[in-house]
Amino acid sequence: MMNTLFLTGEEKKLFESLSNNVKEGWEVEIETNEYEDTPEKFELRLDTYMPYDPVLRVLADELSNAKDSANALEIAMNTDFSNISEDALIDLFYTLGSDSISAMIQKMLENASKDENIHEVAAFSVIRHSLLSALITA
Amino acid sequence: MSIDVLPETGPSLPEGYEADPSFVFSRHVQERLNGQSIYGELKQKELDEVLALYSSSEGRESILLQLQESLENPEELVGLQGRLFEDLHPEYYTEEGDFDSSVFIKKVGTDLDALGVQIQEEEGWLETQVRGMRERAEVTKRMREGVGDTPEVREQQKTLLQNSLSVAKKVLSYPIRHPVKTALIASIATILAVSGAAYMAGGIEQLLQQVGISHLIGEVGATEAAREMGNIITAPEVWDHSAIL
Repeated sequence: MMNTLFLTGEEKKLFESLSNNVKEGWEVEIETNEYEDTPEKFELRLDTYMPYDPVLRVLADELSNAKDSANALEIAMNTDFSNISEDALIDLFYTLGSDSISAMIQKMLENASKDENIHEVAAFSVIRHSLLSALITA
Repeated sequence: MSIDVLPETGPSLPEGYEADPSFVFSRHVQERLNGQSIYGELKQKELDEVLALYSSSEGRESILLQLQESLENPEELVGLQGRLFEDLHPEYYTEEGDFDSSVFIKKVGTDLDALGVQIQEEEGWLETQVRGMRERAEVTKRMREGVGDTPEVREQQKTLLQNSLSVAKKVLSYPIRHPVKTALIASIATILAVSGAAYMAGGIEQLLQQVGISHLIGEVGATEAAREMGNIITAPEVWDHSAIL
């Protein structure tokens, strides 16, 4: 059962400001792992990124063959991600980095209005927690 | 890991450089591949280590094999050095982007030390890339297996991550306009384009323009934009639903 949010102190304040019916049933654990990401580290992650998952390989190829940006957008929108592998998602989130995931979590909390939104926050907070734990012990 | 001291390049330029400046780099690469350089070290130690980390997955193995092949293939390395050379020494290129061999010969002919420094820089770059690959392998492996002091804790974290990735996958497949989906797809498209996996017609700037967040890139280009990934993710257009994804 996934009912724990791994949030920073600031994120916890945002969560606590939500209505009771949205918060109900969720527990907050403070994210204590700290990792300093930098533009240089991000650039290196981009440099060393290679899409090996078939879904992403096809997307990359199709984006490369897009007639124009509108077509590229259509391709991205219509991509079926249902078969993307867990490993590929892990690799993408590693590339994206903890700061970017944190930025997403903050916006998700600022815009949360129903339980489903908190499910998404919980998922992204676990992904960040896993990434931070792995980075710190690496 | 230490970097080998560069071998003495000698008082004269390698034979054949006048006809084809790239020969200089080819020869340096060949010499180093023959045993005494960082490339040799990388092949034998670092890359094997990275490869071992990937051994449980066929997909990841193929990636590492690609990297290994590119590092072992002198032609690939020459191409790599050529690109680095162009970045390091724009003065050897005309405004049209053509290589001006007369300027190169004049410069290199009087400045072998500079050439040595350049090669060291290139080796440093390669070392950084391999270090980045190794960290990617180690961190993603730990994420997949779970981090914790006991097998139970690791298993619990692994299951939690799997459930969370399922949610992320579900978000990516929402059939409706949704800000988290928009932010994720914009991030993925940016990663694919900026990492060079996708050469997009019109460029990533135009794609993000379609999404409605191209102003975050401005005139600085996609690489700089990638440094500002947080801004792309948090763009008001993404979160007020005016972005069209």
